[in-house]
This record gives sequence, C-alpha cells and structure tokens, in this order.
Amino acid sequence: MDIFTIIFWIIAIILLVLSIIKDKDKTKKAFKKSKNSLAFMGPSILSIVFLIGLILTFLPPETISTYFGENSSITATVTSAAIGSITLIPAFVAFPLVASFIELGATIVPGAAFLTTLTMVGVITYPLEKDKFGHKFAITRNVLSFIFAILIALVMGGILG
Amino acid sequence: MKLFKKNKLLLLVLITYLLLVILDIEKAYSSFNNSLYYLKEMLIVMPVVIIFTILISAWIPQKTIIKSLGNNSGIKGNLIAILIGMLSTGPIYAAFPIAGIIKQKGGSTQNVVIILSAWAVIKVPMLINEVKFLGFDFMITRWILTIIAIIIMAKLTEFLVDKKEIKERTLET
Repeated sequence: MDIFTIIFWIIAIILLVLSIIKDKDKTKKAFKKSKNSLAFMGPSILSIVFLIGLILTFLPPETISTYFGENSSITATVTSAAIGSITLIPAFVAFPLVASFIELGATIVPGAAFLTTLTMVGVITYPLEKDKFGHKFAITRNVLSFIFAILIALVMGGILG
Repeated sequence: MKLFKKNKLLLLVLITYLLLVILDIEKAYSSFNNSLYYLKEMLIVMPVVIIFTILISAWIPQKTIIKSLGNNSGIKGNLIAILIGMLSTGPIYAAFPIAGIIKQKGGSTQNVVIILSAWAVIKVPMLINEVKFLGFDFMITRWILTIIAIIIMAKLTEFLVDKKEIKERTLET
C-alpha cells in the first residue's frame, strides 16, 4: 500500500467513526443506500479485474512498448492510444516502460498518448460507466478523451521535442 | 435470466477462463496471476471509496453540492472538481461511485467529467511517479495541457449529452 492510500484509509476511518458517533442512524441509512449501488457494481468490477489479466496475457506490456519504439508517425501514435484504451496498466509499470523507450531514442508522442488513454479512456470499464451515467455520457466522454489524448501528445511533442 | 443479464460480462470472462484452462492452461494461469495485482488494488481502494461515498451521502447537503459543483458553480466549481480528482487514489472505476453521488446531489455534468478525468490522469500519486521516471518537464507539460483539455472536454460533453438521460440514470442507481 502506498502512502497516499494509507492516508486515505486513516482519514476515511476517522471520519466514519465521527459520523457514527454524531448520528448513528444517519450513517446507517447512508450505508444502506450505497450498499445497493455496491452490490450492483461488484460483479462488474470483478469482471474488469479478471479481464485485465486476460488482456495482459495476450497483449503484454513489452509488446505494447514496441509501438512507441518503431516510429513516431501518426499511425504509431493512434495505435499506442488505442492500445492504451483497452488496457489498464498501473502507472508504476507504464512510466518506466515509456521512459525506457524515450531513452532509446523514440519521440515522446506515442508514449504520451499511451499514458493518457491508459487511464482516461476505458473500453473495459465502459459497461460500468454506462450503468452509472448513461450510454451517451460514457461514449461522449471516452471518445473525447481519446481525441484529446492524441492532441495532448502532439502538443507535448512540439514543446518538448 | 435476470441474473444472467446483469452479470453478462462476468459470465463471459468466466467462460473464457474455462476455455483457456482446457486449451492452454499456461495462459490461463498467467492471466489469473496478472489479475491478482488488480484484485488486490480493488480490495485496498474500494472500501475507502465506499466510506467516502457514505460520508458524502450522509453529511454533505444537496445545497452545498449544487452551490459548489452545480450548474451555476462556474470556474470555481471546475477548480473544486479538479482538486477532488487530483487528491485521489486508485483506478478510474473507483471514481464512479464518488462522481455518481455528487451527480445525484446536483453536481453538473461538466464537473462530473472533470472529476473522472482528473482522477484518471493527473492524480497526485501518479504525478509523483511521473516525475521520477520521465522528469519534471514532462510531468508539468502534461499536467498543464491535460487540465486545459479536461476543461474543454467537460464543457463539450455537457453540451453534447442529453442531461435528462443522466439524471434518470443516477436516480435509478
């Protein structure tokens, strides 16, 4: 557990205890309300977790990284962004991966596009997002995120060279 | 049938694993192993997220949310949304319950998009990692560009999405 998660745990527990002390019924009522949404989300999150495992087996991070290395054309950038959209790799794996390829001489554009879509565009979290916020919202947000991820990467390439 | 419909994806994943066990046990094993990291992450992050959802639901009045993150909250609302997203931990799906309860209590669509996006790409723990591997210039450039992009995206999404659809959905869940 990283320091941030530990801090959040401590804050959450303190606040929850205070909440129970101050008004037990109110806390209980709120708990019941979120229990429903949790029961609803649970199976979806579990599917996502095991789906990521499958995707990483057939599309391991090392394979993904060859796309940053090959060239820095727009095709490589879009491909990297697309792969980033369907995978969910923790940042501590993704950052060194992108860094190693920049060190080897690749431009930062495909790597930067990959980093943004990796977390912001979620093809596998789409069902969950759709249930919570509706089809239109989920599709619009994901499509716009994909486009902006590429724009951000291109501008970064221009600024940092 | 209802149970099947509700858990379609889970069933599909389960079937894939079963098939893989038969066809290529090595790959099935490695997939399962890969998943364990994410399972751990989920078990560590989700309880905290649920506690915060409960706390917001119980203690933050609808009026406060409407005032600070609602349709008329303006740039101040956008900034609050960025802060909520940045001071977070865990993957984007962990942001769904929090953003959901904020939406339910009157947060605007654009601020919901900002919370989700900032949570996904510019949360503080991620930025620290980024500096370590890609340097300060890379991180700060991406941070500034991403914030600009997120705000434009949020306004576009709000403009494009039929607000009625979202409202109905969040009331249901």
